[in-house]
Amino acid sequence: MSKLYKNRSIIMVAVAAIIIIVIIAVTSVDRERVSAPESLVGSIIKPATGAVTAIVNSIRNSVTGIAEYRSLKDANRTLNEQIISLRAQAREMEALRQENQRLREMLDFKDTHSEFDLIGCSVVGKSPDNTSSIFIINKGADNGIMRSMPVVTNNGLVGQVIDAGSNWAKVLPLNDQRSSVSVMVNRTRDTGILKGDINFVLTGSVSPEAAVVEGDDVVTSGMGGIYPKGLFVGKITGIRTGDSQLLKTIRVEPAVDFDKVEEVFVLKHIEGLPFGGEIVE
Amino acid sequence: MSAWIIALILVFNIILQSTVFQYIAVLGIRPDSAIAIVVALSTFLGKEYGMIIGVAAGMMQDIVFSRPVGITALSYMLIGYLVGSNSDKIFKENLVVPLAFSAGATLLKYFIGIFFDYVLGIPISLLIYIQQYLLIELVYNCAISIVIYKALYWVYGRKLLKDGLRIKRKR
Repeated sequence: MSKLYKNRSIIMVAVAAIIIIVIIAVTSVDRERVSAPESLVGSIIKPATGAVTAIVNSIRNSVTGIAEYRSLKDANRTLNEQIISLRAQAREMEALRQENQRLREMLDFKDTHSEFDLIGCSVVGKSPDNTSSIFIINKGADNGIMRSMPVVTNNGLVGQVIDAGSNWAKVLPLNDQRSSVSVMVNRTRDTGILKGDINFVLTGSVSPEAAVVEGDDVVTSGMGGIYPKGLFVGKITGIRTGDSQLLKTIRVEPAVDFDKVEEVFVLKHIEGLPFGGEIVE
Repeated sequence: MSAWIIALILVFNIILQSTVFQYIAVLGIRPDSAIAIVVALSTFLGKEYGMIIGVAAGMMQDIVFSRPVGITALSYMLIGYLVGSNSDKIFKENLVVPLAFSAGATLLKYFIGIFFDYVLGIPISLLIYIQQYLLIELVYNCAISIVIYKALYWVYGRKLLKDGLRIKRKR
């Protein structure tokens, strides 16, 4: 009897392990949408996580607000002065923008991002796993968000959606070790690949002939099908030529602080054209 | 009734882990309180409850935060099972118990994580994994597991132990 009991629990563990390994295998391939049970669990966790994040953010903001009262007063004066000069600049910019617009139309330039809708989302939780920087956002398939859609902030590119539930989605940031993006150095037009790593640093490689210098802007190249061309990624902060001389390694300081990102936009392709290797509904 | 309370503890825990825990990170590392909970409850309730609680805690985290789904569930299940299998042989009042089990559990979690990274072709650096993640998280998990073990023991563990014994006697 006791032998049977012992065997029974070992069999239970073995069967459960096999089932889980099958689930791992099934979910490791790219899917259009998450399954119904996954969507349900996400829908339960998300509102609570969102509420706690909102409370924590408001507490943090009020605490830092009180602590910074005096410096804020100084900052306020400086900012007021800046506003005056910036207003003048803005007027000038507006005139230039209109001129630019006219010139663009004359040259029949296509506005490179006009084929996208921006969906505003809030970050509601970050992966508890220390080696992952995946976070979840508060909108999903119900809002038209699907896998492989690029995620940006006003500062630059954040990453891409890797799974979408009904009203939540997982975002894989660029600095995660599973992430890679095809990029171009804006000044020299040299292309390369940028990868995240275990330390959440963006490193990549370009051709050894590339005349890149520190401080050069890096943007997406549009190759690879997921990210559209010309999204700002960051600035080069380090260049190293490898021993093999076959590739030049660059280190990029991302434009977005992935740890502190609170609001993001998901880029939704609106023309119904194949994009990123799949049809977007 | 106790199943609902355990489910609530697990849901509450994952919400805390994914929100406020980023403010108690040490050297960028957050403690894995789910491991501490699985270890504590498996010690009180034995291997079968341990593995079920492990799967539930891991699956929840995987579904919301990971791809592929299931790696954390597999590690937590094995942790629950192994801790539960050894829970008869130890004095549950001794705080060395959660300490040792949590250390072993963290090692097992990283071992399984690294194994699947390797199988799925994700490039990893073993040295960085150990130096910058495993060692810090190991210490942090051990520390937090004492707190959680004590809390669950005083609030809940003594009753659970009695329930557990009753279940065993019925068998």
